Amino acid sequence: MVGISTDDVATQKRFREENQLPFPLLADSGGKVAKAYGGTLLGFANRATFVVERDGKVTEVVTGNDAIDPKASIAACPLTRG
Amino acid sequence: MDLSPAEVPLKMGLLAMLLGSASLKVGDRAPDFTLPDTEGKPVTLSRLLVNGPVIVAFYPKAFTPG
Repeated sequence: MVGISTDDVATQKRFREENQLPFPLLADSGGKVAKAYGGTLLGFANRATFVVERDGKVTEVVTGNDAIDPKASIAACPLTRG
Repeated sequence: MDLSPAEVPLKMGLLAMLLGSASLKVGDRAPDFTLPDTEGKPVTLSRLLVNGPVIVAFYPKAFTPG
């Protein structure tokens, strides 16, 4: 799992440390990647979670407030199934 | 305004972005990317996928609730 926002590296680092997040946070300054995935609004990434299979295909998309809690995506991810 | 067929997907994409809707759907190929992690080290999606499926989670801004 990776978390992505348009925040810069320093902000992401602070956010990750303060919340002791166990996964990497990536800095998409400019929002180019966010635009290609869930879109942006006023320069900020829309809240959206994607499960990407090993072959590069998207197998699950969760958007909006449903994407705040990653439990559904984690459950849908084949690595954590069973 | 006349749109050439090639322009239609582009305009639809722009509209989807303005409305804030997700553009990638189930079954789409996830575009590869390389972005710096919190140590400034580049992370590439295709390299992560070698080890198995990846959850890619976008959020608007650090330190914001909901």
